[in-house]
Amino acid sequence: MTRVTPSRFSPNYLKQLPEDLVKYIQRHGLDKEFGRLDSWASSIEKRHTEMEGWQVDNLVLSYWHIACMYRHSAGMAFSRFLEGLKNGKILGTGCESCGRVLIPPRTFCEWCFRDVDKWIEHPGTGIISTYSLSYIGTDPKVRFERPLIIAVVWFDGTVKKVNSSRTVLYAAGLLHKVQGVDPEKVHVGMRVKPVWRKPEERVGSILDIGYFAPFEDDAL
Amino acid sequence: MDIWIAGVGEIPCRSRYDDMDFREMLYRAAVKAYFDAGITPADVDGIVSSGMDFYEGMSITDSYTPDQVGGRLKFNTLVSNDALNAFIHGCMLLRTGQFRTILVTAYAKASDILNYPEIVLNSFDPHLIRPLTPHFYTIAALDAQAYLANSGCEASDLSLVAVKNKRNALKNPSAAFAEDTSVEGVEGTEVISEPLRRGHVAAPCEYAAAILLTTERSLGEVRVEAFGFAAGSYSPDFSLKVWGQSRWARAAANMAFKQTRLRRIDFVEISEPFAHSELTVLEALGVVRESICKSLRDGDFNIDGHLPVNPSGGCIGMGYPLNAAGLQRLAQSINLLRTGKWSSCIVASPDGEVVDGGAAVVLSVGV
Repeated sequence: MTRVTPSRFSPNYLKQLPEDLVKYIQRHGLDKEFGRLDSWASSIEKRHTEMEGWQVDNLVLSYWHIACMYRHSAGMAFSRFLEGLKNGKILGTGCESCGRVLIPPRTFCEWCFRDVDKWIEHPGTGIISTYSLSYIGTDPKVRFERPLIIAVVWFDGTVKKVNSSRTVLYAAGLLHKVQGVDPEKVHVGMRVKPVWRKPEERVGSILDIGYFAPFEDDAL
Repeated sequence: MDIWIAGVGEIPCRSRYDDMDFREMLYRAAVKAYFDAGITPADVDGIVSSGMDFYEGMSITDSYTPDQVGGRLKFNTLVSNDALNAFIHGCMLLRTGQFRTILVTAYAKASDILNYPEIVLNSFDPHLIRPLTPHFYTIAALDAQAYLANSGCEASDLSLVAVKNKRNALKNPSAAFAEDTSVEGVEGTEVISEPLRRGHVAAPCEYAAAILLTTERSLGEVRVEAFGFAAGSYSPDFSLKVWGQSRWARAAANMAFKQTRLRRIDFVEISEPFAHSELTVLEALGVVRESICKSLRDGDFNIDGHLPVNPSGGCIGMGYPLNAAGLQRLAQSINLLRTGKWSSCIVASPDGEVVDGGAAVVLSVGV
């Protein structure tokens, strides 16, 4: 077996183990007995891939951090949409067959299976159709002191409902953050509008809309 | 239960489509397939997509598959590995009797992947192979070297394969890398990992295809005669791999030939990420009785030879669309059968550049 150069156990590795096992390792001081296999690590001369070998007692673990790098093409529709955001505009497409507005836009209507007919610009005003106050993030064991308000905003004039059954046939909207409001006061149906980043800060990203904030119609 | 090809749609291979994302590419291919079949998405019962999260850079890729191909509110499933597997799954769904028409789709957006060799590295054994950080071209080169040592072929025979396919591609409007080249031209390309030269490798390409399968006789002209799939050793540490052979192809072909009384194969389409892949798979399929090397040199596999191999141009002439390669081969085969020049073919596709497994499908028309 490869000789071990003693060193402290990687906190990254601990994060990947089940909580009970981490507690066991820490309780018995095993985290200090793990060793890094320097001879392995030094043989990997990769720009993106990291590898470390770890050993405890007779068990050797191969720890890999492989960077998978992609450049996702936005395509025709999303490219124009993102370019619109950079210019402070929310752009969508429309299908004259079913009458839907598609925001974010598509070049085709998947309902009617045909090309869309037109491009439209929308002011971004709408209502919260659903939301959640989130106290957790994607990093393990991270808890927010103040909740992140994630909501789906339905844009004005894009929603078609069957009023008798309250069935929503279609709607156009975005999932985004809501700020500028006491979390306890957020509710379904709350009127919101986009709050844009400064023009010089916009890059052609969904984050060019900083967040959505409540407003009253007569304040527009 | 007979299965027929109702329609085929594809967008041509290109080294890169800057103006379309994968949804827009698939939509265009699907529109062509529906037009070709003369039906609409309303006539389709389900979608089978080929996809690998690994290639797409998205988890749970099947969430992204139905909308752009007319699969909204329909049965939808995604099959990994080469697209020929997705096609076979589509056939099996039809044979359950619960479906009448199935759309099979596949696409490749190779230019979205920025460090492809490292991503492929992720598929190798983490203890034994990955620490050596071999490029997968080198793994393929080990296969090529073993094939040359055991078959009597020479490195220049790999160039003959590349020349044949690049020239065949000149007649294929969907091909991205057609070229009227020569053995000397291919031999003049850089060595990437001996015995492989750059000219022996199919360059990655972007592509989308959609094929409509049906049990409705009136909708189809080309018939799916049979299919088979087999894994070779499938050991990610390569310890059990028999180098220089594609034994999976023999098993897959045997499985397929048991399902059909067809004994005459007019042409062969093989996904060949590398020139030697065509030869190892061809040998294993068992459709050539003479020496592969001699037949190749005699021109038997040319488009006007006794048994044309990759008359479409193959992946070397068209471009290698990753997991979509199997559907690329099928789409070309269907188009070639429809010309009326040939009446049967076998299509074979490995599950990846250096994967020891794959599938085979036999098609016929007017038989």
